[in-house]
Amino acid sequence: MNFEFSEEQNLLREQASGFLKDHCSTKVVRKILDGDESYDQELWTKVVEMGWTATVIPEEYDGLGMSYLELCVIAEELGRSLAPLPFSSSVYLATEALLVAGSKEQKEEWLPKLASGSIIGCLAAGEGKGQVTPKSLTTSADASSLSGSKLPVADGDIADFAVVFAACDSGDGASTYLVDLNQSSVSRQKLDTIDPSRSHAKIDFAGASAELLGKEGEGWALLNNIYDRAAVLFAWEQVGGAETALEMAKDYAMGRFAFGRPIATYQAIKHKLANMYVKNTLAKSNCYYGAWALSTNAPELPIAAATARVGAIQAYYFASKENIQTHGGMGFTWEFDCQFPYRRSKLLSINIGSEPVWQEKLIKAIETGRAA
Amino acid sequence: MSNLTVNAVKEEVRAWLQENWDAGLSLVEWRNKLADSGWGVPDWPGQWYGRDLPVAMLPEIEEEFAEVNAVGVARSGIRMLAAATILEHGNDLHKKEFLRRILTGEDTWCQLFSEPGSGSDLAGATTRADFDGENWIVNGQKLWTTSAHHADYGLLLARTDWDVPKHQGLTYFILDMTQPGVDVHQVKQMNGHASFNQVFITDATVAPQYRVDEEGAGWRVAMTTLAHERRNADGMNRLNRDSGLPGAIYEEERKEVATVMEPYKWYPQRAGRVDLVMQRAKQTGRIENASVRQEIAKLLIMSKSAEWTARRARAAQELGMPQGPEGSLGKLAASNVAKQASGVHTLISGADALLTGSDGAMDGLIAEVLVSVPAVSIAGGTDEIQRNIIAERVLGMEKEPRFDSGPFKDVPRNVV
Repeated sequence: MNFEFSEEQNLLREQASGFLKDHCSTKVVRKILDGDESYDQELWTKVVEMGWTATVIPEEYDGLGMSYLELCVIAEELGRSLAPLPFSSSVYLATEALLVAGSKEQKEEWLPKLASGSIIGCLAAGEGKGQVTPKSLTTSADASSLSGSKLPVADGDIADFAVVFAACDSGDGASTYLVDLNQSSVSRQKLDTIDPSRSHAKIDFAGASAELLGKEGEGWALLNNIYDRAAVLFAWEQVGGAETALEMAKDYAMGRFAFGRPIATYQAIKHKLANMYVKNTLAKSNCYYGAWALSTNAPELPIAAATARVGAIQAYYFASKENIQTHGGMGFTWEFDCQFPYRRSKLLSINIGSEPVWQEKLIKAIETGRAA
Repeated sequence: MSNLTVNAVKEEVRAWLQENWDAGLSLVEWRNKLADSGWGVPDWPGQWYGRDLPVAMLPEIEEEFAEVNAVGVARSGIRMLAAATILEHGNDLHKKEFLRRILTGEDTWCQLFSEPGSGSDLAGATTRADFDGENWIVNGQKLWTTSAHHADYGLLLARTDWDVPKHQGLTYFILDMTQPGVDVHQVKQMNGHASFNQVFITDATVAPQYRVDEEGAGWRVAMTTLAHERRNADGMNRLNRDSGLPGAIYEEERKEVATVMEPYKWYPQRAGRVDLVMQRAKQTGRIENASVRQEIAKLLIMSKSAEWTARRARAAQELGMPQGPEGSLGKLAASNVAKQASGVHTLISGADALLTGSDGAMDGLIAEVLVSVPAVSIAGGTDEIQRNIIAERVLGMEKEPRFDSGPFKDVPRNVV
């Protein structure tokens, strides 16, 4: 197991980080936060041109056929820059669903378009109110027609298709469908969320034409598998974001004077930042474990994913809230950027299941004998 | 280091062991042979019991020793810190007088640095050494001195100049622990064990030739000792593993290791015994409780991340990257893990965790965890000091203004 990225992967990181510094300053994040646009289209076009959406898609489907380690590097940098993009929905969730469960025909139809960025995918599992379970699903599918409501769906307002989870009488209680969102029986409504730099929507399906992805009655297992995979990638984004929060806090503390000296010289502030550093570093170690499990398809993936996710949730939330605290009153203003990592940390701590859900998953995985 | 060299060295040591290893020798007889041949500490200078070989070669050589179950030199305890310090800062007289008996295990050592009045602020030591024209006369108290009750020599940090800033007024000595004027008392800890000592020094003497390095260079020398302490912490277990073999020489070695390791027997409990958590939860049926499950998961995740972080650091070092803040990070992680684990054990055991001895959970082991974990965030540098190190050395934040930069005699300090 590797604990460091290779030279090539670090080159990719340098390239990614330089690119995002040039094209994704916090001004870009603020533009989306304040404006009506759902994401930064200009930045998205450039990201697609860089080939990032094609990273792990095999070459036979017009992808780059690189490993998940490369994708982890990109995820960390996107997280660091707080990029207002539908990257996670399209790449970590929709692309993964197709890679894991798609038939040859489905892969041929969708993957090249996902790779080239000509379409954007999203994943629609939740239906509001509480944790989604196979029993709570009210979305249903009859032959190839799907009905129900999904919310909140990240990037649901701008995606071209969705991977939708619907109730099923057999198997594990759920089935998965691919649904074209540009059809008349689908209506969408943008939702207001705590992180307006990442758009979310409610999607209503009224007998929408849908195509089964994977086998009937295996949807719940598929969703869990996709979440395990995505959890690792999100964790890298979260760790990247947490490092940004620490950087912001450090820069501010070193330049801000109180009682005649920089606040960075007070142990109260130093220890706060040291705690951020420790949590970030520990979380990153878990991310390496996750990256290894994901890239080698290891049987430990459920444990590694849960470990990476919980550590990353905790580190990002801690760093982003302590960053606000370090900035004092100004940190709580709309004008300052401290709100960006804080909002993003909250969003990413909930989107694919919160800490308790993943903690329970971890214990279950250990109980069933896959030693940590 | 080419494979060719490695193989040549391995062959050489193999041949030497074949010729010389004899389980019938006494421990000291055998170790004297190791000292003469240089195979006991091959990374040491050729002139001083070594063979000038790179450290990276040691595992290869140890492999050959293990192959024939040959015993090594005495490596456990403070004696190796003494050896490293003497090799780096000592003169030929020190090397001639002490190194061989360190390797044979005939002498044991202790470290007289911390004091009742200076823990984190080690350089604020007030134990004094005054030169009376013939000898250094030492007076003061030292604390947390592991093994002082059976040590032959002590590595002593004492103040010799009170008119200069504190770091500059310290000198490093080798103190004969068996002389009158050196009184050792065990210190009982809150968990009932007594692993450390307090050493009262009253008019003890050090002959001038047992000063190590220059007068006033004590802090620098002490840093060497401490650097080795940090570096060796990891290797201790590997070198102290019990061979389990029958025979007099193995028995002697076992006794030596047991004496050195005695103070550390509660250390696993101090670290929180994360290894017992799942097993205890299953045995007690508490694994069925949703909130207990959540707490166990949090603990295992924290513990895993500490383990991966340590492994990452080791991997980085093997790649030749400079040593980072891993020590401080690891310490802080360990102290979090220990406290969290103690909480989880309490959740699992309930009232049983209160009972010590055979009435308690796991014959009182869980209770011992509860009263041992506070030590983790203090020993070897408090959590607060570790956070300062990270903030200052990693994040580059300025130091706090300080009030001890003038002559030491004017610095406010504790009355002991």
